[in-house]
Amino acid sequence: MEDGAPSEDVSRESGGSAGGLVTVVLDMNEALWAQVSAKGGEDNVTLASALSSVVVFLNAVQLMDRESEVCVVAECPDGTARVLARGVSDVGPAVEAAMDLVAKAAAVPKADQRSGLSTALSVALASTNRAMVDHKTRFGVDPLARVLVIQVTPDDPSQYIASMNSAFAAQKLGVLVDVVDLSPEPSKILQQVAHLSKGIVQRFETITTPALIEHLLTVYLPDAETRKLLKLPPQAAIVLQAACFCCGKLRDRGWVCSVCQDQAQFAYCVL
Amino acid sequence: MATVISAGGGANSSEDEGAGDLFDYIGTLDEARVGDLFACRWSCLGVLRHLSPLAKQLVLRLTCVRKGVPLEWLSKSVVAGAQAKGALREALTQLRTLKVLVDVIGEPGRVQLHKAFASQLRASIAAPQISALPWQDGLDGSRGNDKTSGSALMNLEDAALRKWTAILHFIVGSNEYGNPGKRVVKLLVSMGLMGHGGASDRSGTAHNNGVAVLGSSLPQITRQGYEFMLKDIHEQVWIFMKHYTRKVGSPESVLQMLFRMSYCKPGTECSSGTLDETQRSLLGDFDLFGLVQIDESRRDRFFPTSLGVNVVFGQSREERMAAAARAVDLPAQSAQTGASDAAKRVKGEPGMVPMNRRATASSNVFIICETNFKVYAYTESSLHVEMLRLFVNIECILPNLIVAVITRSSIRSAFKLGITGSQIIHFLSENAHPLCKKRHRLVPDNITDQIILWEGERNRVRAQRGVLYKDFQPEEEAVHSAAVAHALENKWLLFQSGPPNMAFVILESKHDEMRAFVKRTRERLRNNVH
Repeated sequence: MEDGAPSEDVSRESGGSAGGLVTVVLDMNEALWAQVSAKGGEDNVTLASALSSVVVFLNAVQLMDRESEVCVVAECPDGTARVLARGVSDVGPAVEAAMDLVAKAAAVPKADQRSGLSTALSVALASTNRAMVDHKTRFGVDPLARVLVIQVTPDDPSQYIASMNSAFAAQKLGVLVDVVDLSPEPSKILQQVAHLSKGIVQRFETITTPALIEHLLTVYLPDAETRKLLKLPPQAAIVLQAACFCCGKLRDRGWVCSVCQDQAQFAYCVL
Repeated sequence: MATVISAGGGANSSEDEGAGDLFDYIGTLDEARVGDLFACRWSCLGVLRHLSPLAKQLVLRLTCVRKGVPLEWLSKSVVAGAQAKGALREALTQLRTLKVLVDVIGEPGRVQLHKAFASQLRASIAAPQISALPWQDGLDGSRGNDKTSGSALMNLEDAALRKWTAILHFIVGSNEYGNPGKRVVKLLVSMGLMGHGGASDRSGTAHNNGVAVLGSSLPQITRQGYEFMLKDIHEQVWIFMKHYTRKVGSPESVLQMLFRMSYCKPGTECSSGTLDETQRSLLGDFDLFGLVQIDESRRDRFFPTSLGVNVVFGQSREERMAAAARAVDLPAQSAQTGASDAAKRVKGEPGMVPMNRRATASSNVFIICETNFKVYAYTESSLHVEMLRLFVNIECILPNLIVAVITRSSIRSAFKLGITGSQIIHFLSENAHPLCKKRHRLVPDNITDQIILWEGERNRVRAQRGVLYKDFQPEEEAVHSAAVAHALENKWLLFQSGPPNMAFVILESKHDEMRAFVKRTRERLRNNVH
C-alpha cells in the first residue's frame, strides 16, 4: 500500500528539501564600501559589517539543512577573485583572512583598479559546478544551488561579454544568481545576469547593517523551491542593453552585417 | 434469564505503542518541559532542521523580531494559490505542534517564537563559527584521541553494530551472538518486546506490562516484538529511547542528549563532564546498545557511533548512497569476472568505500519482489533469515542471498503472530533493492493487493462480546419488543430473533442498563394489566 515512488522515499528525510549550495560573491573594494557607508547614518554598512552579515546568512543556510554547503568568493579590486572559504567550518575564520586581502587591495594604485565581477562570477560558478557534481555523487540528488553577488563597484562595460557568458552558464546549470546592488548607478550587467538565471535583484543607495541582514534572511535565504511559495520583492523592469564591441559602452542599438552577422566588418556604432 | 455468551477477545485492537517519531513525541510534551528542552542549543537546532522548508523560512524571518506579530502577516507572506496556502497551513500546524510558534499572552491574534528557542537560534546564527561540536568542554582541544578515520572508526562501528545486532538476535531467539546481558533482557521484557507467556498470546496484553518476572527460562518474543523487528534500525533505537523517556523523571534530558548526539561526528572524542545524573546513567545504557562507546581507559570520555548519531534524523543520504552502491555491486561482481578485477582493486583501497561496506555489512537487506511471488533477499545476516521466515517460505539460503516465496499460508502464519499486512508491505518496500527503486512501484501491485486481500479474509468476521437475552415467556412479547426497540435506538443491538424464539443479543458493556430496563418494563406492563 505504502510503496510510494522513489522520490517520496528520498524526500522523507531531512525536512523534505534537498540540500542547498550557496556561494557568496563579495566585492572587496574598500574605498567604494566607504562611499556607500558615507551616504547614510551611523550604523550603515561597511565592508567589515557586510562580511559579518554574510557570515550570519551562511550560518542560517547551514543550520537549516545538514546537506547544505557554502562558499565565499572575494572579488578583489585588482580584477582578480579568490575563494575565501569553502565548507562548513571555515566561514568565520575567513573573515580575518579577508581583512588581509583588503589591506593588500588598498595598495593597488587607483589607476590599476578594475572590476573583478566576471572573474568572480566565473570562479563562483566553477566552484558551484564542482560542488554540484560532488553533491550528486555523495547524496544521489541534485542540489539547489545559487550564487549571491554583493556588489559595490560600478559597471565596467568591458566585463559585459564575460559576465553574460557566466549568466548563460548559470542558466544552463540551473543556478540562481541573486544580486544585492550597492553600486553608485544601478548595475545593468547584474540585472541582466539575475534576469537570465531567474535570480532576485535589489538595489540600495545605501543600507544599514541590520537592514542588510534582514534582507539576506528574508529575501535571499529561501531556495528556488521555497521561493515559489513566498511573496518576494517585485523585480523592476530590466534594461536589456548590450555592450558595444568597439567602444565597450552599453548601447540600445547596434548594427551587424546582414550577411555574415559580424560586427567587425561593419560600422560599429553611431556615437 | 440472561446468559452470557463469549466470543473471542477484541482481536484487532492494535494501538501501536511504538508509533510516532521523536518529533511527534515532542508535540505531546507540556509547556514547561518544552521550555527545558529548548534551553539546549542543539535541541533547538535539531527541531529547526526537522521543520518543513516553508516553516524554516518563517522561523528565520521571526528570529530577530522580539515582539509578537499578527498572524495574518505570516499568511500575507506567501503567494496566492492552493499549493502555497496548503504549505502555509501545514507549516503553521507543525510550528504550533512543536511549540516553536506560540500565542502572545494577552494579545489575541498575535504570535511569536518560543522565547528560549528564538534566543538560542539568534545566538547560533550570530556565532562566528557554528561548526563546533557538542560535549567538547574539558577536552584539551587536541584531537589526538579521535576515532574519526580509518581502522579506528571501522572498529568502533563494527563493535557498535555487533552490540545492537546481538540484541536483535536475542529477540528472535537466535543464539548466534549469545545473551546480551541481564540488564538488556530485563529491559526487553519491560518494554513488552519479549515475555514469558509465549508468542501465542495474540491479544498481547497479559504479560506485556512489565509484570513478568525474569525466571530461569528465556523470554519469548511477543507480538510487539515482531512489529519491532520489522522496523528500520533507527526507529528501533527510537523505540528504546522512548521507553527511557517514560521511565526517567525528565524526558527532556533524554531528548537533549539525543539531539546533542545527532550533532556529533561518529568517532569524535566527547567528555561526559557536563552531563547530569540522568544522562550519565543513560550513557552507560547507550554503551550497552552500541549508541556510544565509553573509553575503557578514561571513563569520562566517550565516542558516539553512527548508530547513535542517526537516532534523530535517520541515516543520512550519503550513508544510504554508500549502502546502495554496495548492494548494486554485489550481484554485478559475482556476475562479471576478470574485467571487474581492476575495479575491485580500486574499491579495495583504504578510504570511504570499504569502511561503509563493513559497517553496513550486516545491517542492510536488499529485497527484490517479483510478480510471481518470489522474493530474493541479498543479505549476509542470519537475522534477516529469521525475520523473513516470519512471512515467507524460504526455499534456499546462499551465502549472500535468500530465495523465498510468498504463499497464502506463510502470510497467514504471520497474521497469526499479530503482524499486519501493512507492516509486511512496509518492510518489503523499505528494504527494496536499489535497482527496484528505479521502478515506480517498489513492490509489485499484485503482491501488495494479494497481501491486503489475505488480511481482509481474516477480518471478515469481527468478534464482539455480547449478552444473550432469551427464554421470554409467550405472554411477555411486549417486553421483548420494547427491549429490542430500546436497544436498537441506542445502537446496542447485535442480533434479534422474532416471536417464536424471542431472543436478542446486545453489547456486553450495556448488560446492566438493559437488565434494569427489562425489569422496569416488565413491572410497568404488569401494573398496567392489574
